Amino acid sequence: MRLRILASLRSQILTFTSVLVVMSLGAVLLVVLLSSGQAIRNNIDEDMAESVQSFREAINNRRLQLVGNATVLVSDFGFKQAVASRDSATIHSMLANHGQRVGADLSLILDLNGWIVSTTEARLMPGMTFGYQNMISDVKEGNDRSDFLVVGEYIYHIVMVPVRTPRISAIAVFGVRMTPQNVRKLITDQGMQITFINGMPDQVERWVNVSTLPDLESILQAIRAPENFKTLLRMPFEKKQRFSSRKIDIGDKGGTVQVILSDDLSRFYATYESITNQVMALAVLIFLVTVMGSFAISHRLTRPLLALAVKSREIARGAFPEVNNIPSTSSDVSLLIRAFKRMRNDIAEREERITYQAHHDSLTGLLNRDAMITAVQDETEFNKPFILMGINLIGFKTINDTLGMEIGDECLVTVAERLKKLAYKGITSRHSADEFSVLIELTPDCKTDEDRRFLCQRTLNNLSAPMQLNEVSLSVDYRAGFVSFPEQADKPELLLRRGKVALEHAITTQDALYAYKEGQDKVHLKKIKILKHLKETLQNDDDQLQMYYQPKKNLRTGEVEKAEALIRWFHPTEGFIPPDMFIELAEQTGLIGLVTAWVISRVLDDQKRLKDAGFDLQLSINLSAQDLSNDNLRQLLDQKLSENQLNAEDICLEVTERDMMTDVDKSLELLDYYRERGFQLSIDDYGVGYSALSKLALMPVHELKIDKCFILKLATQNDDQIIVRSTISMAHELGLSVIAEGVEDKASQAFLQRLGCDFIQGYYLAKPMSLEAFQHWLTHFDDPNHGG
Amino acid sequence: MQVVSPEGLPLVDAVVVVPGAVASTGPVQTRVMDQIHRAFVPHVLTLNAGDLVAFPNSDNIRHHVYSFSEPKPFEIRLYADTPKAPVEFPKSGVVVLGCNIHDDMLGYLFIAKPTDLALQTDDEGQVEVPLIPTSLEVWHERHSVSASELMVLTESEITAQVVSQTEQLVKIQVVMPLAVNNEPAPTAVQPNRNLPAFGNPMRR
Repeated sequence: MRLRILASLRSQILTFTSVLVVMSLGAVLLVVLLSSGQAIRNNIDEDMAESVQSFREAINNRRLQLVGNATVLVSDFGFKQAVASRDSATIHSMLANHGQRVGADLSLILDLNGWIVSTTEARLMPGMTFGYQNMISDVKEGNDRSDFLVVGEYIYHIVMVPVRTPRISAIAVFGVRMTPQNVRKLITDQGMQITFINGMPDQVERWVNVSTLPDLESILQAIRAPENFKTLLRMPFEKKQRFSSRKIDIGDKGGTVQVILSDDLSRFYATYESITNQVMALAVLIFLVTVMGSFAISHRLTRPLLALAVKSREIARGAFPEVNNIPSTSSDVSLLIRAFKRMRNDIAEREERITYQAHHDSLTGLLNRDAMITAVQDETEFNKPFILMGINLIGFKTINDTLGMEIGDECLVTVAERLKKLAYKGITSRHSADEFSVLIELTPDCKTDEDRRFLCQRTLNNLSAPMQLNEVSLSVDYRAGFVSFPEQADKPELLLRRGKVALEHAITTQDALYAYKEGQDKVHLKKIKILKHLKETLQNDDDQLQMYYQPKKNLRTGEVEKAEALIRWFHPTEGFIPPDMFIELAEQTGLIGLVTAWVISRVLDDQKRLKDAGFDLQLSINLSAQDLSNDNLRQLLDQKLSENQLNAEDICLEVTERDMMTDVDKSLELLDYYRERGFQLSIDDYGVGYSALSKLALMPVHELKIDKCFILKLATQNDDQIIVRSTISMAHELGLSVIAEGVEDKASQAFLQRLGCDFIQGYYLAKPMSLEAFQHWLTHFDDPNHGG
Repeated sequence: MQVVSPEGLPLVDAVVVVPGAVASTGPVQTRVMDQIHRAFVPHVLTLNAGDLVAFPNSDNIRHHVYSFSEPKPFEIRLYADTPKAPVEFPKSGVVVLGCNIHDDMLGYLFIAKPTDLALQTDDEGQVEVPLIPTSLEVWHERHSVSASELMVLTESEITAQVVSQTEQLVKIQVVMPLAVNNEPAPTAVQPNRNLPAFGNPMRR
């Protein structure tokens, strides 16, 4: 493309100069032609005028000579005597004799009526009329007459004189036959042609003519030629104008012979053609010089441009060649070359910057994920074992929130700087706000997992040294997971993913440092798959999710007064998916809101059915911390209550101790709302949440559920018995009712009953059941043979 | 009697002949046809057949008087002064005289029969005829191309020509047809006039 444009620049220059030359030379040629044409015209005019003049003089001289000769002849007494004798033989011999004297080719004696008396011309007989009566009557009155006349097949220069004996009694006619030779003598200019012609224009074949021209064709051209030269400019198909002709009126108007002087123009053309040829030769020469010159100039112009085009393509490919050795053929070009050099440097600089930005985190200057993959890729090629460790800054959000973004950023920069120093070959990257990964060199003496763990821990220790930021001393805590190359992963993507999996595991398990374990990746992938299925089934509401109900029995009354709604997922291919698994995932991914909404809708509908079937139970729903603050769920609860004509007391909301205690103030506020609203509230999984009892006392709940880990082996475990006893006692003291879940044997139930526990729930009473099964179970609960 | 041209101009030197008007023939006379200033004087000389004519040359140049006319062809070769002898003209008719050297010299001898009365008109073209003729012959040099023919008038034709008549005088006017124009003196050949050039009429 570029090359074509340059080539066309060259051709443009060539075209322009060529057209210029051709046009100017054309103009010169035109001027030459026009002025030559004018010159030729003038020349012809002069020539013609001179020729006509000299021709007239020549004719007049001939005429004078002829008349003189004739007059002398007819004055001869013998001639007169012969004519007067009327003896034809005498007259004839006298005519032949005397005619020769004057050099006449034709001699005649006419009587005064124009009848031939005697003639030397064989074709004319005495007694014939000669014609030319107007001339004869002039001569009869004593005048001489001369003209060019046709007699027989020839044109003669005829002179007629009267014969006096002594009165005019006859007319003597003498004629000199016109031949091309003697016509030629009439004119000195050899370029001038003379034609004597007699005949009608349309009867060429009957013409009588005498001409210095060689053939009839030329004669026709000549007599039809205009009086002057028209122009040298003519179309290629037009014939050259060969003659310029002028008709001369020269005789005594006796006959019809026309005399035409024709100028043969070929000699003028010769001059003109030599001028034209010179101009053309000059034109060709100038044209060649111009073409070569403009070619050279355009070549000089385009050569550096082509070189620059090649360089620019190299630059486009990403190479940055030196822009030297380009011929600077003109100041403009050298300007362009300088600009090009600057551009090359600028582009190189900018590309460097862009590349850097593309590969580096803008804040810390660490590699980004893609660049990290490339770097790890490069590193894997050495086949030297190393560790990839993913690091997460715990509580970074708090730093940002409390100390401000600037400190946060500085913190990140400091961490990054430390990482750069600690990383093997400086290969370290930042993936998200507070997530990093770093390559750690594995020394040959590191063999065991413990050695590796030690290496990682040492890195973390170096990293977690307190940092001084704007007079704030800051110590950052980390979670880290690592993966080993090449044992656990040999591809950079795999390394990063498994490093991430290990890190996430460390975060969720609160483990400071976690080593990737074989197959963990698969669990991770399975989680992702489950999440995908969960989304699908929530969207489709295709009965994969079901609500099961596990009854709760009041130990004092022995009645089933409550039940816990538990979600169950039966996946068509994956089978039963435990709620622990997908609920946790849903919480981690924010999907829990949708799950809980589904649960609320279903449970409240079921509650209606139960009520309609005559069962008056309190159903409890598990809510996560996220669910508590979800306004949509509050609205949904209200909507479903009124839709099903239920009271808030019919529903108990179970919140785990851990969720409740993560942010106590917020939990208090939210729980207060639900309590006000009239819902029953229950602390779920009590005893494993490390909660402060002082805080617990503040919670506006109605019930406390002791985690099943204390109950399952209650009958045998003394420790559990102590905890449960004191918990029940404390709860009662706080005014809370107590429920134990995980009751699996009669001993546990008995023990709990003894301690004053209010409700139990567990396999000893009943497993969680579908609504139909639950209804059936409730119907037969009073049956002493059943379950209990 | 007056002889006029058809245009009514009087014809000088016309000869009116009244045939048979002379009863007796006179003696033979010698008449003179002089040449003065390159002209025959008189221009027309009337004489009777048998008379002699002398051709004295009064010019200081020579003349070559000749005639090819039928009554008497003769020539007097270049001479000056008076030739040796006068020329006898025995036959009647018209003799046209010329000079071989001077083409413009023309003269006429009208040779009448001795019995005829031949009278020459004066400058007024008039002539007095002593009697009313019964027939008339009139000649003039311009009457015929050959200059030898006569116009013959019968009595009735003469009567028709009467213009006025008194006891003493009958006026007759004879109109004579002319075959020859007033011949101009021959002049040198004039150069042809130079006509302006014109275009070729065959040009289209």
